Amino acid sequence: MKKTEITETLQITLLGRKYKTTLTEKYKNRKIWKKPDPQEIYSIIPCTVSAIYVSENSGISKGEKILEFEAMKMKNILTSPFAGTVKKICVNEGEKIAKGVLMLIIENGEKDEEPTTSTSPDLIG
Amino acid sequence: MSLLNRKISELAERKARAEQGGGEKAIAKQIAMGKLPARERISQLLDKGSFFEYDLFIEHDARGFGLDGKDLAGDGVVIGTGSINGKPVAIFAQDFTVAGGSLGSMHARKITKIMDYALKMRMPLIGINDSGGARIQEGVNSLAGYGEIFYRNTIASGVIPQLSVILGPCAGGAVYSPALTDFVFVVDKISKMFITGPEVIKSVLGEEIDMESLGGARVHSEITGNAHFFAKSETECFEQIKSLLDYIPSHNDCKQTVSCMSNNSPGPRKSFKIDKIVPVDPTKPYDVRDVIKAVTDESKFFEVQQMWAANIVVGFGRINGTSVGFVANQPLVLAGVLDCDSSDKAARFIRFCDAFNIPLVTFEDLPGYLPGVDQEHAGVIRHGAKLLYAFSEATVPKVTIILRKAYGGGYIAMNSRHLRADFVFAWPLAEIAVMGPEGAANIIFKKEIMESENPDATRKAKVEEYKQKFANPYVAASKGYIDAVIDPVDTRKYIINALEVSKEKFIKVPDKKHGIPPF
Repeated sequence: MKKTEITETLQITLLGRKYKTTLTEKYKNRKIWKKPDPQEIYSIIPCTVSAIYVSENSGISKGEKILEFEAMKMKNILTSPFAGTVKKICVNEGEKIAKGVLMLIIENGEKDEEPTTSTSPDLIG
Repeated sequence: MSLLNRKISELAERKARAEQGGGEKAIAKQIAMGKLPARERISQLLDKGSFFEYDLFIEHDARGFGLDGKDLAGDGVVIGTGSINGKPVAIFAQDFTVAGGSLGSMHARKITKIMDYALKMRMPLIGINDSGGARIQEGVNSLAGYGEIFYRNTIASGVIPQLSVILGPCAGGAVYSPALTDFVFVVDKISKMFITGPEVIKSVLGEEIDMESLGGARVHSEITGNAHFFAKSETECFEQIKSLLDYIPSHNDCKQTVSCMSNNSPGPRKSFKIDKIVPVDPTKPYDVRDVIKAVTDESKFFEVQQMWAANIVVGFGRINGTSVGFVANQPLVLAGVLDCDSSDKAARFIRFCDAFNIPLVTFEDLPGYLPGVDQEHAGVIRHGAKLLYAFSEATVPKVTIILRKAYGGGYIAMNSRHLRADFVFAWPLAEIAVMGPEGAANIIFKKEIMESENPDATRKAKVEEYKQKFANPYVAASKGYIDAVIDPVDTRKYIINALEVSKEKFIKVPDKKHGIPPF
């Protein structure tokens, strides 16, 4: 099982057989999967950050309000998915951000129960 | 010992041997993996003493690759009938301790036999999946077995409820049986579902991913939407199955579903003050599940696909003792917008309810469909259309309550009068309009705003004017698109009456082989 060539076409040798395939644009532009880090909080929708309730290096408890963002005619509240410390805030109040932008990093204080996959933080009002 | 006694003790011996499955060592290994043995699963799930097993003495008929003469107890699957809270069910459970629960032709024949029973006797089918996949030694016979199962899943769809319980690996072609069934149950760290595993992905694409991140219980409950119920343990999973079965009928000829577990139907708990849940300010979110709990018997709501596409809430509750399916926009998540996944989720749920004569109650509060390149490129047109199709097609009693926002395409899609809702009610807070006041005012009064000396003030004044004139329920009420504007505290009363008067609802649709929904 080894890859012999990656150009416009891809040739794969699998169980002694050669397979040749043409690469589509969609394939080439695909997002490579990366193990999500639950400590990095990304925006899940294009929005305007209307208020930030925490500051860097401050402690935070589970369910505590982190920030408010306006999207789709709604003032959504982002709450902390776990207890920890706010390591970095990457957005400013009033800033318009796209989807998938890193908003902040929270160091997880509850090491034992780290989710194994990406979970969107709860949005509660 | 008389001949009869000898025969009876021989039977007992044979039974004991077959019921041992893969033997003590294999069972210990199964338990070490955090999994229960197949028969233990059945006995925990079914009513005590209700299980009758069939085809215990089935033997495989494979002749090659070392299988000749090899004893595989029950060919790796346990089948039978039993009951859950007195309701008859058909069940099969793959036994991982016997040849890894691999599916050979006789194994498949046992499964298809119990499927045929379930369909003929019209009772729910429960499949417990715990299998390494096709029995490679049996070659195409094994594939034929899968095909026979898939075909029956499809034919039984909409006739009897089919539940798939993933309690181990379920990979490759095998995943398509659960995918064809109505509800899929998964358990954290035990369930694994994928078409191609991490090794193939690595060798072909060079991407590295672990099994849990690829197809674990959490992934299917949060990201893919393949699973409907997530549990932390097998025991919790069995409780979920029991609850679900209490909300759904045994087959599609049941006119209505009444609980086997509780027969009284007291009103909702006093703690849910329905008129206090929804904020007047349309930009403030709230949990729509509280509105549902404020109208259901005992404030109970059994949610389906809780973690996936959480911007729409679907699930079962009871109104005056009878099962009802709820579909509700969730302002708490993504402002309650409709997008590809939420349309998909709701459409499938609606079709289940319609197939099994469960009335639908819709709570509406949404700003519309989610804009964005990723949504458009993901085919939101096609996915969104599923929701319109499902609501239009459903002939069960359909009631809609507009809580707050009902804008544009979202208004039409959420079981509007135009898609043949039987009753549409609106709360006084409702804003039924083609779009939000800001957007609408900017378009309608564009010229006036631009030519004004103080555009901002004019814009504000025009937005307010639009709000006064159109962002209310009375324009729609004046056209008869909604039947009544109601006081929120009367919501349960209106739903009870609407369901009561539509009990004998009859709709004649044009003859056709079947529709062609946009899936």
